[in-house]
Amino acid sequence: MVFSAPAFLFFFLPIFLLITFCLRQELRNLFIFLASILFYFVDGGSLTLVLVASIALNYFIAIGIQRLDKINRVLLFIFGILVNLVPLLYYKYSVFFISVLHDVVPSFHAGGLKAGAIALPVGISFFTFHSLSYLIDVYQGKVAPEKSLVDFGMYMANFPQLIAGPIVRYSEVKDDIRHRPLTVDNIYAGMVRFVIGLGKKAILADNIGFVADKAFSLPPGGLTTAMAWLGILAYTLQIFFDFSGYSDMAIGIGRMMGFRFPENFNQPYCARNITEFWRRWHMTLSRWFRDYVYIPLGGNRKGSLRTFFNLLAVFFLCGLWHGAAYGFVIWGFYHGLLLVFERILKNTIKFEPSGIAGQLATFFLVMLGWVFFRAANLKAAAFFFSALAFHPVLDPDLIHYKVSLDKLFFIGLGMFFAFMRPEWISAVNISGRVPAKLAVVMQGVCSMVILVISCAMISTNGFNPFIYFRF
Amino acid sequence: MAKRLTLVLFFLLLFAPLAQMAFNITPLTPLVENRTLNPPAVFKSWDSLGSYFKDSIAWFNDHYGFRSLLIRLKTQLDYSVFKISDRTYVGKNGWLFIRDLLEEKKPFINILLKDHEEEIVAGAGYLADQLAKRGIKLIISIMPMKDVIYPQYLPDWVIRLPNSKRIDSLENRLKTIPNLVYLDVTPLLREIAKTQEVYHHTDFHWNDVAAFKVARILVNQLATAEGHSSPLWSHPLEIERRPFIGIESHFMPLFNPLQEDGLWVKKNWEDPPENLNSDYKKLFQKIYEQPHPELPQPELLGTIVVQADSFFESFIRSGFAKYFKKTYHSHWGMTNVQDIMDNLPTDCKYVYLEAVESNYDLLNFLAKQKPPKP
Repeated sequence: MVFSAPAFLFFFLPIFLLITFCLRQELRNLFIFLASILFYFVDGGSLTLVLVASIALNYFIAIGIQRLDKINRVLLFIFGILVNLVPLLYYKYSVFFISVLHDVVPSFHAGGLKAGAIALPVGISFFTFHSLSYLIDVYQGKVAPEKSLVDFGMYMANFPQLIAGPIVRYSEVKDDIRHRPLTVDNIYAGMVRFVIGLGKKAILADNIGFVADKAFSLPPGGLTTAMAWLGILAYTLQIFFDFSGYSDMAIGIGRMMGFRFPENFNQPYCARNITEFWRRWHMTLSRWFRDYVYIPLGGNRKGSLRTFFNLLAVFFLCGLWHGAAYGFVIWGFYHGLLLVFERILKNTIKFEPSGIAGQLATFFLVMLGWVFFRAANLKAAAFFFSALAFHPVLDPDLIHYKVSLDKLFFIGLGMFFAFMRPEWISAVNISGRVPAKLAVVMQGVCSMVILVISCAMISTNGFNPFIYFRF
Repeated sequence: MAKRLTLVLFFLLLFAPLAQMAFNITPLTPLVENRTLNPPAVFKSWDSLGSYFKDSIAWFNDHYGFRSLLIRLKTQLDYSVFKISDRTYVGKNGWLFIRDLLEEKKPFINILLKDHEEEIVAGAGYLADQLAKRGIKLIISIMPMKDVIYPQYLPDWVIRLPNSKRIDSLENRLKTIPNLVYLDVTPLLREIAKTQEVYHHTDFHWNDVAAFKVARILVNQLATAEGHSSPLWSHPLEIERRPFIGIESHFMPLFNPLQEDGLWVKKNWEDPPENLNSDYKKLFQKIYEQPHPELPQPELLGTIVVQADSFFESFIRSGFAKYFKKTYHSHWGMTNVQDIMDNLPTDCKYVYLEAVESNYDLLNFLAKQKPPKP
């Protein structure tokens, strides 16, 4: 069940919030835990057991890590890491690894195992990272293990961030787990944030995504150079508004429940270099890799070559985390190489991309990287790049898609919002310039308008009239 | 206070669909979707609880309150602000065109013909020969879509096939096949269009008046071939206008649906009755039979078997069946066409295959007509 589905918006969410607000504080965590398991079960089915098992195992392992002595503590910690990684490796990566082996050693046969042969537990990448960070933090003594199984289960299964992030560390919410009063200000702020996220997804991402989907589905002979550029621009915007919109909705729902989830996006397309881009894009993932992979590998403290290796290793894993396919791995590697290149420029000629030129160059490079992310496979990516670079020979029997005015409007609107620098957003904050009450009223009206239009857009996604019924 | 009011409004909006489902607060006009909406989920067992939830969500997504209102709101915004619709081209002078037909179906047929035109022509020839051996005349017509006759009403930015369509080449070749009567509808409609409109503005079908004139041409052509000395079609054309909201308008549901003054044929003839007890009822959706078909009726044409789409229904509404002893009518997709061909009524004189140019079924059927392997 996705946040932008009618069943979530008009059934699950209002009933969930109503019950949450009416319940006594002592019962809220149990209710959130059970509701989150139900939320997961709707799409996950029997694979919910993977999540439940993960919750139970990590709960007991963390307690054991705290109580055991040195050697056993280390062994239990290693066991805990493995017990979290093994399901992820099996469900998400086994088929891919087998196909890679087959590509490298053609005589190796996968026994008919193909992509999609193993059902993937929804959100496994996210809840695995939650549990890994929890165990590592407990092992390092940064946090004490959660004593209540219900509270821990609620943290792990909390539906707003379970499926698509942000990656919330236990240390960031441990105080909220125990005590989070429901206030009108929190609920209101959460509501506004949720509606903004819904608008990003339903109004911007879905409309812009139509152009991207079209461009990437056109066959050779049907894709013009102009359409290829428009398509990748559209995808660049779509993925930002889709992902950040989802994060906003998660943060908003969390805030309505009293949680303060960490921010996940900070206008990444305003970044002036790739290093800054990764401080603004999927920030919770970047921080996770920084704290649990990059720094333990040595970070930038062991010389340039080791730093470059660490960066490439982190971004190789980052790419792989996003998906079990060559395209994601290459995308990760591509960003790793860009970061290495920036380091070299900085170290050798003291040059760091900046200003408008830096922003445009960064946007351009990031946009090109998204081709690997979006294309169905490497062959499709290669075809798309060739369409970007050269005027392809067009097939006279195929139609050549034209973008309609409304989609161009949404692309323009998307670019406006994507390039809005955070300081501009602060500058146009009206709350210092108009009476506070009027500011709230205006904010409320805008929120309701965005909500209604978003709901209208979402409803139309389910309007699928069938022409051949009466053809 | 403002925050509390906004929150109350927020929750009212979120709960409104449930309230509408429970109490039917405001009666709303349902949408025309031409599909069966997802039925309520049925709980079968605890093992299939996951499926039950999925089916429940599917049902809810089709039936939540104010769904039609929200869809109309979105469509209205698109139309009012951009003069656009996700499913329909909003053309000039109130003409609508279904996007899927122009963007997907017609290009698909174009590609299909690129690879399979020879098979289709060969299949049509083989079928015509086989039927001719049994004394049956094969008639084929491929109906043009509205954009063929009225391209000037398409929006300027619409996608068009860059080359002349391969369907034209196919039609020219079908016309040359012996034993096959190819009814080339496109030039007929272009001629009729000089004096009156031949398609609905808000529906992808041709109007009944155009169908009447084409049906009359076909009937008289067959009658001449059978040796009738004078035109067989006798009932005159009487036109009436009625408000009409076509399927293209339903595909872009607005608060005030686009409608037109449709052209219709005023009924001034007697249709032969439907035979509901025929042995062939399993194969055909409609069977029209003149009274006493066993008696010689020289003023009538022989039995006709029609495999067609909804365009043919305009023929029926024009009185086409009046001129045949029996009319067996099957709709593409409702029956296995090969079963029909293998079980033609013994008194069958004509087999008429009709389909619109974006219909894959006819071309697929013809391509499969081959001599049996030795």
